Amino acid sequence: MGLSASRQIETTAISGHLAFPTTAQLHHINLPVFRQLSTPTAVNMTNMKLLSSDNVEISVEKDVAERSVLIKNMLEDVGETMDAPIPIPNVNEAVLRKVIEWCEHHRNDPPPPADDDSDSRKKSTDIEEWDQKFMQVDQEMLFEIILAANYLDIKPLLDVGCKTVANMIKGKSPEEIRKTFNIQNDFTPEEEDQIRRENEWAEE
Amino acid sequence: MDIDIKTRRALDTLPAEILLLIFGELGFEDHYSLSTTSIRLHQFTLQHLYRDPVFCSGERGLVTVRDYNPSNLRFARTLELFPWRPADHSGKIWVRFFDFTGIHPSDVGTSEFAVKLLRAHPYITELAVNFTKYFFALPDSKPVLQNLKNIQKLSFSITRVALEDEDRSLDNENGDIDAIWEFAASNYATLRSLCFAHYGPPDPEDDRNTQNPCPEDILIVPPHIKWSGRRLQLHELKIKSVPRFTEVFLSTRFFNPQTLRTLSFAWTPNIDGMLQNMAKELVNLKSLQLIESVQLYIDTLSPLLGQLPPLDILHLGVVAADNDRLSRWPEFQKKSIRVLWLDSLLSNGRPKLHVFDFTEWQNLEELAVYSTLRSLRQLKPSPRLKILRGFRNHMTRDSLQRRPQEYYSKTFEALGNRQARIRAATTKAGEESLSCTPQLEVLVDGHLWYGGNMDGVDKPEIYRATYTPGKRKGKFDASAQQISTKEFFKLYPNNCMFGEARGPWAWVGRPFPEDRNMGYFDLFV
Repeated sequence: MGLSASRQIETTAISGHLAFPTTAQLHHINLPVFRQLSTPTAVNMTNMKLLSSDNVEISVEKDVAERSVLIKNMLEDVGETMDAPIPIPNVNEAVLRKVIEWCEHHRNDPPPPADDDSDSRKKSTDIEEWDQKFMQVDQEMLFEIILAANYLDIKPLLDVGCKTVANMIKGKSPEEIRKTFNIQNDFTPEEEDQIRRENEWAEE
Repeated sequence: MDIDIKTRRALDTLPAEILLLIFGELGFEDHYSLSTTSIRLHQFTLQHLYRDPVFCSGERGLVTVRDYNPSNLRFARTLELFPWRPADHSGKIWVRFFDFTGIHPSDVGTSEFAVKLLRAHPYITELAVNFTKYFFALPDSKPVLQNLKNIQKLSFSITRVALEDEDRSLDNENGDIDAIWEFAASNYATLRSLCFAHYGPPDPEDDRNTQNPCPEDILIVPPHIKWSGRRLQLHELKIKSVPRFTEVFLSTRFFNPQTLRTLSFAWTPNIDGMLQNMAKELVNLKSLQLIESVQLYIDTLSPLLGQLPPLDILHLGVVAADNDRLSRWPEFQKKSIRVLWLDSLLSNGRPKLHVFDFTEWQNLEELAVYSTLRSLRQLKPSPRLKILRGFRNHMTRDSLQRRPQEYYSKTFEALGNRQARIRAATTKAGEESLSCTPQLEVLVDGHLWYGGNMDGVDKPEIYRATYTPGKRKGKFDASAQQISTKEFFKLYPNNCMFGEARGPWAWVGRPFPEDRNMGYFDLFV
């Protein structure tokens, strides 16, 4: 039942361009499972499974997975735990394992402040030592972690990722930034001239 | 661990929301570097680069501005190129010297700075500048002006000066004024706010510009410029000290009255007939300021106010007002006006215990009158009155030195209690009586007159009320606490405290955009 359900969701995600199964889909697909689990004899499952974009099932404890606001909200909507793997169609296995590693380390962190404008977000240097080491990955992986954190709605991880990239930009010349981040210079010669003229004045 | 990523992703391919998060962690220099890497990143960094775009130059400004944040200068979007001067003898407080009446030692330097800055950065949208002969004497000043094509707000003064013999060669006044107006006309597509003032030869004994009326022979806005097709579609027009303005407007029609929301005439005489004729075209007008520009007495303003649309702000410097004459104003204006400043409410300028009844002014939140607050015990406030200002004279000021807190508390109490009675009186029979809280929040008391050279004169006293329920039902005990101008601006960020206009939104002549009206004394202490 679980396998067929996951295949069905996967198919929907690909053909219908859905990024995530809807609550209605999950209810429909897992209805018998829910009935079974809701009985007093059912085992209280604290583990759940995530299915990466490359079709790898990864087991994860529920409270760890719930660091993702997307997954947490979805589970709350369903109102039950489920044994079918939840597809994460935008995130491959390698990235998903990294994200889970971060969530496991931070499973007991207090919730982030609700106010997005608070100063705590804006201090770029205050990355914890563990997080700094965690982010010591190649640039492609760093971007993928940021994208996954954004998709899964894990704000603290997104912040750490963005701060890491910001720190990589700091103090670099435009050419160094282009080289570091694989940026194509697409200014026309005229536009570059204009920028140069503005600089010349300031540097007189 | 194998990572299955087929193509290497570049920074500028990340989604917008993530780029904005990353860039929010960076400082100015890094934003600048990023802005020159690619077109997409350039677009995302613009909002950070232009976050604090106001730059000023002046007496000490040529050095100060550079030292202040030199790398930011190239991103100037708003330029306020007026001189600065010390506000007192200590030299610790500096003010913008808007009403600059003559040649100042810094002005040549300021003009050089202005031309240099404008040459380097032709994309500014807001410009405030004092055009002197020294500005136009610089070799490429006129081509630099012609190159500015995106101006949205333009504020300038033209200062006529008595030139020294060695500078006679600079005298090309007509050509200079033509250049300024050609500049304004060439920005007709974007220009929405235009403020200009003209100052005459300075009187060495008195630096208050109003004592230096400009010569009658000056005709600003050259009629030979072709305005048809380039008629300015302004939202804001403020004019100070321009004689023969009626003649100017009738011969040029350089702006379209229908687009105006704010209109101000100060020391611009003999415009009565023109204004009456224009009134029907001012269909979008919200704010009107008339200072020493019309011969009208307050009761004869009724026909003009009757032709205008419902106003939000009205500031009048008129004479001979009393309650009877105010009551004859059109009812729709009394119900519409939110801010009312009456400079010379009383005929001879001396406080009298007149009764002024604003109980029918349903929308009135701010009232400024030329009177002491003590005499305003006779005032019947509007139901929504929040700010009450009085312009008091020096004699009264001295007499209040002893126990000001008690005096202001009593004023609040008197006005608050009266308001409570008004509410009770209007309650219909059978309805539950309202236990109302006084609406009045702030009293501003001060002699707001010209210039910053008289220490303390322009510093008003601001008192904020605290109300507690009194022993009798519906009555309140009021106490007054003095607050700083800074606190005042926090409470009322768009309000105006100082300046010769004494108006609710700006200075006339050098009306900086209303969101930057700040008190002198809080700026550079």
